[in-house]
Order: sequence, then structure tokens, then C-alpha cells
Amino acid sequence: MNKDLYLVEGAITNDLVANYISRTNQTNNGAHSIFLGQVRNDIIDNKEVKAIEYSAYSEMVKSEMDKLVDLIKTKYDDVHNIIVKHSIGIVKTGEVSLFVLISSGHRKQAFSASKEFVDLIKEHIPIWKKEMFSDKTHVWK
Amino acid sequence: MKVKILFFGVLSELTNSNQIIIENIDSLQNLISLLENKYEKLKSHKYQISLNKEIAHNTDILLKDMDEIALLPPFAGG
Repeated sequence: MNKDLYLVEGAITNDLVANYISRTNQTNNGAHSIFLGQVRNDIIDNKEVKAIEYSAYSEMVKSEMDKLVDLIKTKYDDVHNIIVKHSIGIVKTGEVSLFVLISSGHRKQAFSASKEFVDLIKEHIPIWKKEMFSDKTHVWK
Repeated sequence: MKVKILFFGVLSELTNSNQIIIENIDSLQNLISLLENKYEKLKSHKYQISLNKEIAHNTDILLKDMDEIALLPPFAGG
């Protein structure tokens, strides 16, 4: 298991996801919402994306993600627990680069909080991606 | 006094550096002017500025020794 609270080197593995799901046994939870973000094979200028290289301002990821977790937990009082992992480094198409697991007493807040949290991650977390093609060229997004 | 400047994403590529040190600069405004003169391509890119890991919403701020300023192109996580 990676030591960084939020960032994982390379793709997020099935094992990591399974490990966190197996720990969701708090008896006051009635719902768990899982979001997985996957690297898509976009076509840009007739070239297919083969992988994404993620880079991050790691210390600021930590402080900003802490704020988002607090914000969501404050707004959604039925949410008991939030797990979030984002890749840094290279993730190939078809692999997972973002994992969010939100646990709440009832399903309604798990669904709503999950959507809002993922939207906020995209807007506020200092992570960048370089889309890489098979001919070794790349484009920043 | 010295401040540390970090470049991320496409900005690290166009400045050809991840971080630099700048000495004797008094304000964030003057620092940005200096950087945009040093790296002209910065002017054609959108970016936010952080000061000690907090987004700076204006540049009318005095700098202190050891401040860490980062130039952050639009975020693209997920």
C-alpha cells in the first residue's frame, strides 16, 4: 500500500480497490458509492492516445484534497467515510487513474456526494496530464 | 532574500525547468513580470498562481524570504 494518502504511483490496481472495499464493514453504513476514472483511447489529430502521464504538485494535492474531503463531509452529514486515490506517473489506456469510495448511512448522499466530489477534484486538485501517442509525441491537457 | 518558483504541466516544458530560484524580488506582481519577460511564451498560456500552496487571487502581495510560488496551468486530474 502506498504511503501517500492520495497519490499512487502508476495505475490503480484491482487489488487496491478490492482492499478498500473489503474494509467497508462499519455497521452504521448502508451505502457505498464507487467511482473509477479510466484512461480512454481518445483520438487526437488522427492519433490514438496510448497512455497518460500524470504529474502533480504533491504537497498542494494533499492540502487541497483535505479541504475537499472536509467540505463534502460537512455538506453531506450522512457521509461517514471518503477514500480517494489518484495516479501519478504513467497510466495506460484501459487502466484506472482515479478511485473514489464514499460511504454513507443511506444511498442518496453517497450518490450525490460522489458526483460533487469528483467534479471538485477536476476543478481544484493540481494534477496535470500529458496524453502520449504510440509515435512518441504527446499533448498536454 | 530568495523565493522558489515551481513550474507544472505544460509550463515546465515551455520554460524547460521544474523549479528556479529568484533573488531580490519584492512583490508577486514584479515576479510575474520578470518571469513573463524571461519566458515570453508564458504570456500566451493560462495559469493560476499559488503562494505557499494557496491559490493567490491577486498579485498585489509582498514576498518574503523562502516563499514558494507555483505557476499552475489549468488542472486536468481524473
